[in-house]
Amino acid sequence: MSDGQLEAKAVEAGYGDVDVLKKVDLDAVRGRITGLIGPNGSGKSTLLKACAKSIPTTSGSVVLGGADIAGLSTREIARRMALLPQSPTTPPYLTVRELVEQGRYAHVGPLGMLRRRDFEQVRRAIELVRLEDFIDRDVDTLSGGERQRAWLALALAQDTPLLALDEPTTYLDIGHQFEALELIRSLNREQDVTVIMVLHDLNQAARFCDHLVMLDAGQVVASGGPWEALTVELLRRHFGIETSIMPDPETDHPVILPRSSTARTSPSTDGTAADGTVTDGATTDGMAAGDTERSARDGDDDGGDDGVGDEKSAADGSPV
Amino acid sequence: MTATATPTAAAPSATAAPAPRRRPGRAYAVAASSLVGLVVLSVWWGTGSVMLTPAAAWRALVDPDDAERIEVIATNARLARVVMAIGVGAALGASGALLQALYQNALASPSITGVTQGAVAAAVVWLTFGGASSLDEATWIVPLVATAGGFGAGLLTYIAARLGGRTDPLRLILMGVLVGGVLASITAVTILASGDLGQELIRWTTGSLTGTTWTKVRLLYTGLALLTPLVIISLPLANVLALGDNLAQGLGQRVEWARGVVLFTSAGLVAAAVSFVGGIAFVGLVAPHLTRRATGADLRRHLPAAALVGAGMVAAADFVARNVVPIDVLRWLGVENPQVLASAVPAGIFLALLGAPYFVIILRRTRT
Repeated sequence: MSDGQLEAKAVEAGYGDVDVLKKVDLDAVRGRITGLIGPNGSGKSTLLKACAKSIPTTSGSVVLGGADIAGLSTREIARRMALLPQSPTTPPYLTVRELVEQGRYAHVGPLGMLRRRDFEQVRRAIELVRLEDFIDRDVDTLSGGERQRAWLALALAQDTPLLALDEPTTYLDIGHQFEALELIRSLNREQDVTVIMVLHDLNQAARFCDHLVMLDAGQVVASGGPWEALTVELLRRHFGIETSIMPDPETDHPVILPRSSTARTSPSTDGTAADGTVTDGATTDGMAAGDTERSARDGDDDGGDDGVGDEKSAADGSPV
Repeated sequence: MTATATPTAAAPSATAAPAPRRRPGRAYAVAASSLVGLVVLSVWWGTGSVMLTPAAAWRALVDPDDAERIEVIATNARLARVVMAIGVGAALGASGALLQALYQNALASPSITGVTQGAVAAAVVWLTFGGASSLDEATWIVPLVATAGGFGAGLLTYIAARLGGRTDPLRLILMGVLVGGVLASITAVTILASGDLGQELIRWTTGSLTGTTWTKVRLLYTGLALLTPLVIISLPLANVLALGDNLAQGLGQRVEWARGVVLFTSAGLVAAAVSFVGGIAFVGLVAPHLTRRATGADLRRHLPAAALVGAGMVAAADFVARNVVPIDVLRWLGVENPQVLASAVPAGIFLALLGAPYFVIILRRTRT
């Protein structure tokens, strides 16, 4: 039915009167891991939500598995794409099995009855994340790494060809971060699941993603393989950081060594991004005070990744 | 020797279990003990200011030729009360379980939807300013008015919360508290203005099963039967809603629609219960808490258990209300008809008196 391909074209979306995304293109090619990177408030989470129709788009189109999401019901979208928000709240007194069973919501009948196929998918999802031994344990008694795997199993139980993950490594120590990312990569390679994920750690993004899309102030400023999307120039301009970049002696992926933070310059003053996109207008002042209110209310927003602060940059009129 | 060796050998493996693993057997234990409790209570309907042996009480039920007096007392008054208590408690327990999932908040209860206050206010206003001059006169009109009031208040809460576009749980809670507060004031003012009727009206605000008749019982159970399909539909909806709006949407749920259905269902349950017995508090809050530790939060198991425990709570409270009030003390106080007064003590008072301290104990042991 759906092949896991997602194509977003000139998507604009936001919250209320605040536009966060400005004509964003995103292409998640089947079988690849696409990484979304960018500073806080650049619109990464918003883009994922817009692609899943969690928030309405004001213009542009999103084609998911061959169909425009505008014409798809919430349930149909949930059968094509699983979206795992950042650090979801863990409900107390819910076992791993009970949690993962909720992933079948879009597949079950009107009374929510699970059928044999649903039980099989639940078991498969739990086995894929290797939580069989914890199946009857309450999720909130698990460690951070196990818990993240439980959430992943919930998304896998949706049995979708496309998996969208918003910062799947948040709050995990480095060992569990790699465990989660390696698990995601093996799902991608072995189960033929197309993945889009937001990552904050650029070295992990370089290592685990086939394709990277860098957002800044609601616009795509770079798109390409790790070596194309992670350059000294791009990191200076959009993250405000001086770096040295060198190849990993074993894997040949770029390794980024941060040197010092610099004041971020306005993108329009120094021309074009690496992929030739002419960046216009917006400054990148990242978070503003307004962000905290939204993130406190939504709970799953990563401290202002929605770029509410862009209001400020628009008001500044700083470019030119 | 062996007697001491066995426990020491068994002990380490028991304590070495990594973390609390829920035992499914505990869920059945809760259900079974609730059931036993209900059976015992229903046998005890013979106990009251006129004593009957359980055997006599049963005989009165099955044998229509039995002494008329016993039949009237046992079946019409006491059994009706027990059956009513079970229905009311089950409705309140079930609605509490739904609401705590819906609001993702373990402190949610029927009273924060405004439905309880709406039903009570409507009943009190109708009894004071409407046609009926006494509570008995209005066997079915008052429950209907109260149900309408409860739904009206629930709808008002929902619409007020939705004015901002979305009805997220926090807005719903705030609006529910607001609507409930206003309605409680209306109730209070009405009672002040009602003169002679005041004492009877007060019972409405605390919840009492006095004056239960079989007609009312039939009405209540008809309502509950109509609501049962909605409850079954609500179970999976509320389970997903409990994971939060963003996740629910990602799982394929139309969140606003689902929340509407679950709210309507729980409002219906509360309105049905409160319309016959008044604002019984605590059951909707406490019953889900008592059962969640054993059954887990998955409503497919949690809701039936909460309903059973709720039923047991109200039946027990009414039993206490009918039997434990010391008649001698009332007589000593100079009360003219101590038996009458004792049987009229609102069960809701005992629920609050006994429920509150127990709830504190439970909370201390509950992980958040």
